[in-house]
Amino acid sequence: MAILVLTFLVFAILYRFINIKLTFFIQPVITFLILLYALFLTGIVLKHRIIFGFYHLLFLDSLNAVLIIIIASLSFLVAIYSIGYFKNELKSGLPENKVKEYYFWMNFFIFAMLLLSISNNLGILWVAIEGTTLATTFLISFYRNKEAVEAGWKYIIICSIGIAFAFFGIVLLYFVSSSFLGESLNALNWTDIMKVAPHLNKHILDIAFIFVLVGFGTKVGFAPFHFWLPDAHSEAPTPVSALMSGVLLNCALYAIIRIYAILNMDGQAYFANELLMFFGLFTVFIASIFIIKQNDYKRLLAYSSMEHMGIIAFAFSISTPLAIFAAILGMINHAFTKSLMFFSTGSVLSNYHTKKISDIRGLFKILPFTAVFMIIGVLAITGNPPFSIFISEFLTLLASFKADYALEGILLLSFLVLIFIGFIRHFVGMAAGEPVLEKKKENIYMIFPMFLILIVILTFGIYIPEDFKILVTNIVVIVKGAHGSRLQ
Amino acid sequence: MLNITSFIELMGAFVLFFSILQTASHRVDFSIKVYSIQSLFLSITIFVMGIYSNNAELYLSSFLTFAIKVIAIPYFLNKVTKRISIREKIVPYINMTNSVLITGAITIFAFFITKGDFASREFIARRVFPTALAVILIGVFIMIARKKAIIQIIGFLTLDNGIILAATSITKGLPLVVDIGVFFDVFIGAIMAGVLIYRIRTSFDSLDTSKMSNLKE
Repeated sequence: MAILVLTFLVFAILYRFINIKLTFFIQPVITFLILLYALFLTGIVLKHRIIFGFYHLLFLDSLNAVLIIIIASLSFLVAIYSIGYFKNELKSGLPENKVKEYYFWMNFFIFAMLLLSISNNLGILWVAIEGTTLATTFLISFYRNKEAVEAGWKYIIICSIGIAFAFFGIVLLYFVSSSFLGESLNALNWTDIMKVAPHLNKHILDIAFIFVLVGFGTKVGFAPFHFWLPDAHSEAPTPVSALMSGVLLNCALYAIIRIYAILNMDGQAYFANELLMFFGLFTVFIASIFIIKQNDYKRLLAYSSMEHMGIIAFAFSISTPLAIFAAILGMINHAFTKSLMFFSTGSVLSNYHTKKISDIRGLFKILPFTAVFMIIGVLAITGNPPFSIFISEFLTLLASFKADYALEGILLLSFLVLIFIGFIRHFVGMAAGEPVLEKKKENIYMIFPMFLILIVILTFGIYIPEDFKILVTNIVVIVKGAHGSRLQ
Repeated sequence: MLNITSFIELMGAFVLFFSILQTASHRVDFSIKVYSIQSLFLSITIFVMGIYSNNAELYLSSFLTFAIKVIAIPYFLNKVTKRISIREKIVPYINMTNSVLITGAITIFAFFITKGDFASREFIARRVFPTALAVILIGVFIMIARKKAIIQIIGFLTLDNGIILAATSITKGLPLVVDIGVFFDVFIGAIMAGVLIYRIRTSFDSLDTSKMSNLKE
């Protein structure tokens, strides 16, 4: 398993010495091999439920198996897309050194995400999350103009405070667990903590969870700690935005869910459930307001990422097997669909260099393929059938009604309708009408990953593989504890 | 007669004292000096804790604190301030007198909320934990109440010192592997924030973060 993590660290450094043209093509190959390896590891997890590596510091169970598949496949898609994106950028005058810088930080970023998702030790998980902050700071301020530098500064300051709070939460957790496990590295190992979880001091655990939720919640983009998110996601180069929205937010949410699982061991984390539900709904609410009145399509997509994280958090907080199924499906679907949106709008940005919605008209005529994928993306992300997000959102609502959260479900539904209206109004305006800008040639490297994503989201919208259902059944046991899941 | 527990508490109190002094600082180079001395006291606290609990990991942790937080980070921050030659005074949102009063209130609050809790196990130095909590909150306060980008970094570093102090007071320190990772992250974070400060300086002609308002809704 160490291979999984180290590959990207090695290549981050190697790329410094390799020609750019070669780098362009090595990156997709490497990420594809890693994706195959991740699938292979998941196959083992399906058989053995849990595997350990490197002195029990790394581990893989069903929950993080899903996450590493998301990370690996998105990295692969982004690697292909980067070829087209940066060829365009090089043509319009970006120096080669900057592209090298991009590949360095990008690989370091993927390395940190993989480390956080497979580390068993909560301390190392924290270090890796802070690592993702550091790796993406320079990617956000990549273009070095006023806005980019401002976004980078906001990002590093707000996320560092947030993460410091999460660290305090982990210290408290260590404080309660070390009285059972002794003061050693084991007392921070998630698998070891789970063994003693029912005996831990509930009161201090609750306090620790507040800190962790606020801390990592800052990275997830929960309102009201979300101020960095639209800035960062809109200023970063498009491939980075796609990876940050689709994957990094999921990773941060994953960290919260791991801690949540400790509280939920006996299926009685009422306090944590309420907090998670509040943050989830409030985030969707804030996002829906800003989506309606937005005039910058990348910021609009950033708010939509917040919305989806809110929905997923809401689903986890309902905490029935059906809701957890919906949440996991939602994580996967959002990752792919949001990347499709960022890829298609990224093509628009790299061709016309404007982020204003009102500046762009008639994309069907000037960038036909991109426009088609963009509209498909809009339909998919707002939860229309036959695309996969429809299934996860529908199941979330169904689960909330079944579990007596009818009022919350209705609230969520009304926010979703608002968001749907906002999306349709903005994006149909961009795609239809008479063009004001000249026609440009579309790049095959940018179209191809969108096509791959379309296949994935259509497949998941129509058919859910049997292996995935087994994975989710295991995840329910992980999140609710063996006892809690049997009750349902 | 000064026994070892109250000596640890005294050192913790010094850490708190220097974070309060931080809020009263008018100049950037003075702030960096205050941070450096605060880190020195943190390092001593960890070292004495190491003697008390006979834990070799704490000696190493204390040494790392000394090397990184007393020497490396202040050296780097001084270099940054020299290169962008900040002569201007620190501009606060909240003036110095009120800042000090607020930090006083924060300290009382920190002692108040930790009164009943955390009594489930024997502590080495019981009063260090609320002190650490106060340092954490004061760090947050500095980040909010000051406009200069570089002072916001120092606020974050103060916050980090508070957390390390809290960790050593309630658990005899975190496992060494985690500790080293945290040091590494904080160090790299400080350097990256420093580099960002150069860029802010070149693109805004100032370090005043209240001038950054291009990205408002």
